[in-house]
Amino acid sequence: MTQTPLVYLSGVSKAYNNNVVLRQADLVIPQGSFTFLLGHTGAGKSTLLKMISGEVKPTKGKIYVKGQDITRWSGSKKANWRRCIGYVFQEDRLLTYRTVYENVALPLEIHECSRRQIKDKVISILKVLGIGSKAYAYPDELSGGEKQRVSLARAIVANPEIIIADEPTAQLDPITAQEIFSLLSSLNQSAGISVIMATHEWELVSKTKYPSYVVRDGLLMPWEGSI
Amino acid sequence: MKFSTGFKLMGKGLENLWRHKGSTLAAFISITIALTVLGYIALTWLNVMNLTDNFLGNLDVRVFLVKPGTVKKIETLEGIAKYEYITPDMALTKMAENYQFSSEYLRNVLADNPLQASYSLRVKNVQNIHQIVSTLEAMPEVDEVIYGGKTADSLIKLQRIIGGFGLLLFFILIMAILLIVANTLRLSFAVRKQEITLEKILGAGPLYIVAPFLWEGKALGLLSASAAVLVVLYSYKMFSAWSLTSLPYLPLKSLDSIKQMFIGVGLALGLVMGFIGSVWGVRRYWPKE
Repeated sequence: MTQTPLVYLSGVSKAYNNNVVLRQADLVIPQGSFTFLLGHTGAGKSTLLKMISGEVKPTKGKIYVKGQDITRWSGSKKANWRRCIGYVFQEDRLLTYRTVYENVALPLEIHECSRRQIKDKVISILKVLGIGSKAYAYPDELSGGEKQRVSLARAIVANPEIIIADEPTAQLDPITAQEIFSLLSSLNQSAGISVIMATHEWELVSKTKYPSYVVRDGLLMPWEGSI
Repeated sequence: MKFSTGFKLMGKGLENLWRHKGSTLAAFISITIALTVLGYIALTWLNVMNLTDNFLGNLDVRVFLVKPGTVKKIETLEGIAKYEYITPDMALTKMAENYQFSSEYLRNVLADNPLQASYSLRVKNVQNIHQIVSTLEAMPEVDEVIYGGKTADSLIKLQRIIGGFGLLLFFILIMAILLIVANTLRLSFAVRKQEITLEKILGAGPLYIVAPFLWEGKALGLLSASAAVLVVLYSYKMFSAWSLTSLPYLPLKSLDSIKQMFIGVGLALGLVMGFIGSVWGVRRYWPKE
């Protein structure tokens, strides 16, 4: 028996006014998979990711999450789906007036976890990611790599089913970028969390065996390793 | 939503007030001033009502009869609170008392008692006094009706003017308060925009996002109302004390009789205005879908 894919895009198109960003895209993200989404800046990768999270509505086509069409979902159902997603953005999007601990606790607060649960989870996740000593530091006091680790901690603290990473390594030096990628990869392998990662770092992708897709001229197609 | 989450969001709302303390202080002062003015309007209106009610409540309507004898339809007329039938003899005795003569002397001087039998009436509601007087004047048994008509009319007019003016000012100030709260909340929303966007992405529902602003509005309204109530009641206490020596003939309402009402209504008004203002302020940003 075949398993229902976690996310399935069928003939999805998106246009902003007359500007077509994506045309008839089909994509399957199986549960527990790691998928790369390649493309130049402005190619439409972020739009595709936002459609998966339900933030942006497709102009045409259907998006299924575990077999259900999310384009027909109500706002609260979409909000519930977003709670199952861990986000890592290109820029860290940390709240500067909150400590690392408070930033990482945010998804758990939205999940209405108890104070005790929040404390246990946040402290342990920070330790796992090697930033336990920075729990009470403010984002301005962290390096770029540390900020992205905090961002990753925030993404995984609420046990997401999928991590949507929108160019998480774009602003990092190659070593830190490799570290972040390794963390995402190990989360996928050890915890079975699905990952979809948008990037324009072709070299990084070419070193892996994960399925990769490229968005070019509004078309989404499998990437075979050459531009 | 869990109770603990609601409590946490309330804390967030109060934290918001503190985070943009400059605009919070400006809004607090403006709302307090507006509510204080409202309080003074209410006090003026209450005292004018008290003054006119005092006067009008003691207003005597004298109905002089064509010939002596009780008239049932006057006694049972709708709107009459109290009546007293005065015979010509009773009228003469009363007149003698007023002029400090002996009634025996007056009876000796006057061959016939020229005074008419009459009714002394008190009406239930002075607003209806004209209608009652007209009905009485139309009765064939009635010769003449005398009452403090012009004074009563002036006082009723004053009551209406102050009531109308107060109501107009009340609505203007209420709108001003709502506008101040709404603008403060808009500013607060702008300050927290990054956080709200992130919360939405992370799956926060509309109530989770909007709740802190509603708490913020209510807290702002309540704080300002508390300050306004304190200012109004304290200044009224001082004015009452001053009027006892300087204007002893002015029948002011006592502080004790209005204190509870002012505290209750004032705080409730602040809370409600804060809530409505906050809903108004963030309605444009209410998460759609």
